[in-house]
Amino acid sequence: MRTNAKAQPPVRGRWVENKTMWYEQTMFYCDCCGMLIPQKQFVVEEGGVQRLFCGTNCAQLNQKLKSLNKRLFPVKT
Amino acid sequence: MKKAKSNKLDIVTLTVINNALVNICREMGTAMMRTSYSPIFNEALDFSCVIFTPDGEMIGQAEFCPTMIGSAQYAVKWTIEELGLDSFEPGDVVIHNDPYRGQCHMPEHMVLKPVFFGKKLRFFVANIAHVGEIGGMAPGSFAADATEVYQEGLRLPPIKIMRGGEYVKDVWKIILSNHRTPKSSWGDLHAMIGSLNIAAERLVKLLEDYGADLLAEASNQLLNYSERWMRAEIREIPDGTYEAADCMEDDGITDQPVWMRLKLIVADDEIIADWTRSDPQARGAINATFVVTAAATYSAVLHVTNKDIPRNSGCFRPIRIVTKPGTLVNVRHPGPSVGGNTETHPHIQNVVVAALSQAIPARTAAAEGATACNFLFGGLHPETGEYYTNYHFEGCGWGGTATHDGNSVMCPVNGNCRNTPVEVFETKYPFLTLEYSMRKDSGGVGKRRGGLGSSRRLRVMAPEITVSALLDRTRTHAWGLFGGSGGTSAKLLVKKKGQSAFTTFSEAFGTISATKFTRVVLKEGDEVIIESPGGGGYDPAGERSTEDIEDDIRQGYISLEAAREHYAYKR
Repeated sequence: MRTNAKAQPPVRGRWVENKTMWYEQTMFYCDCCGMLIPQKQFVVEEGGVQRLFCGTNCAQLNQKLKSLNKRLFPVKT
Repeated sequence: MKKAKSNKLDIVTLTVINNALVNICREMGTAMMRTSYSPIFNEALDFSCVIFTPDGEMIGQAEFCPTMIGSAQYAVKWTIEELGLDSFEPGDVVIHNDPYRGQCHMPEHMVLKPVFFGKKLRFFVANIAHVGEIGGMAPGSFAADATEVYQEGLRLPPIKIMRGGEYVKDVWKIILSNHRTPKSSWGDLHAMIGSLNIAAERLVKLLEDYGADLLAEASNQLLNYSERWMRAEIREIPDGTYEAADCMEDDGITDQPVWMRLKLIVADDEIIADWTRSDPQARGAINATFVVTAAATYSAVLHVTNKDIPRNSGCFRPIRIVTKPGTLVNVRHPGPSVGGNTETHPHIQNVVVAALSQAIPARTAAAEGATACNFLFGGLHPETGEYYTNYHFEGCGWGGTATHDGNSVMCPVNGNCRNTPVEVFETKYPFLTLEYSMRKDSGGVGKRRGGLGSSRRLRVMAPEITVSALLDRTRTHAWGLFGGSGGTSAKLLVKKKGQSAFTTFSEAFGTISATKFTRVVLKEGDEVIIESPGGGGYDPAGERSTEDIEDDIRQGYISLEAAREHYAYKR
């Protein structure tokens, strides 16, 4: 998504497709905004822990909030 | 066909295209209003019509319900991702109401249609509407004491109800078998689909006039234009962290308040709304989904920024939402959420405005009533013998601002709905309206008075009516700002035939909550009083002009006694 936001430091991660079968519904929540993620998760390795995000914007926001000294509660799935 | 000479379109062309998109949405709404069966649509206008790009960015909307407008992009994006863009064909219509797939709450149904031009998908058009009866525990499908989503009605993931212009009959059969009033659902769904067809026709004409490439570029530029403007507005708000909180007074299951807590961070040209310190989700149906919290936050920011910013996905980009799943503001499956969109949403919005009042006081308002006093009912009509249901709601008082008194008897801030006229109400439903008035002295006092709530008294005119209710603000009140006082609280009372006094539903029928219950059976002659709350006042009452006080007395908005007590009126 194009945005006019000031350039944020890039976050290294990878897109992972939700491999749930069409007749199942497992629920993955973004570790930043808390939104349910439809199909694809942006996965970031952080200190040996995998963080799931709904997109690169939330992955960047996660970093930004840390730098603003705000605690986030990682989602336990 | 007009073609762009370069990529950057001139502001006149952009404005003309933006206005065309808005007008298409308006025309969708008019068609919906004129062809729907249920008063919730043809009188109350509880729906929203929107236009999207193929990748799910909202580029057109009009003066509909903020809650649906803010949340529609999530429902559409989920639909596109789950079904896949390649799965859409001309003549398809998808239906979707799943709160665990990007929707607000169960009654809100989205119908979505792809618009093709030159064999390529160019737009999506959608109509999101509060279908008044969708099955579940309660007639009117507002199960106030539901404890899981499965009790709230028929839950539909994104599925096609029309394929290539033909009915997908199996899906229609399932839907109509689970709704208590299938005729109304049949008619209303056709009205929704009809509005999509009109939008598709208009968009094809627009594509013929301007060309697909120019419109795609215009969409992109409009989104970025809105984003730039919103960022400029946010830069005017002093950087900082602002906190505010509010509670839902109970959840229909336990008599405990449930709190939403906000830490609003303004950082240069972005707003971050951190709701993570909110209480764990409730057992009852007052939980909000993530998209409801997002929509409420967006709407609050729109209230305090320039009203001319084109309302599209672009203006939401600088507003970031942070929640924790399993809390009041982001319910985790299988929690119930039917009340979240209607009752919790306006509270969330008020909290955001309260936080911003610390930064930009002149642009904010005192709290509004924040409850629609949802009153649902159904039964067999004594004259027609047919089953009917209705979702009835009230307006409330809005908060005073720096320059104006609050609006009186307005739909809470999450909706933009009209009331149903008494004449229409009594024609369709076996109730007699004994009173419908504005509540004197219900607005919070202040230099700018809070708006008034309403009072409605109904008598049952059928052997039996099954009623449910979901309202809040009966023990709390809309707060005032900067010396203004709070508005009066809401009330829901009942009097059985032959009794002399009104009592609460808990006292009369033993419901756990006096304001959140399902399936109470009223008999002929029973009466109900619904009083909606007033809005908060702004600035000290002592600063209100004598002229305004006397006008209030003359109009019946405040009593002489209240004028003397609260405004030191001496005449």
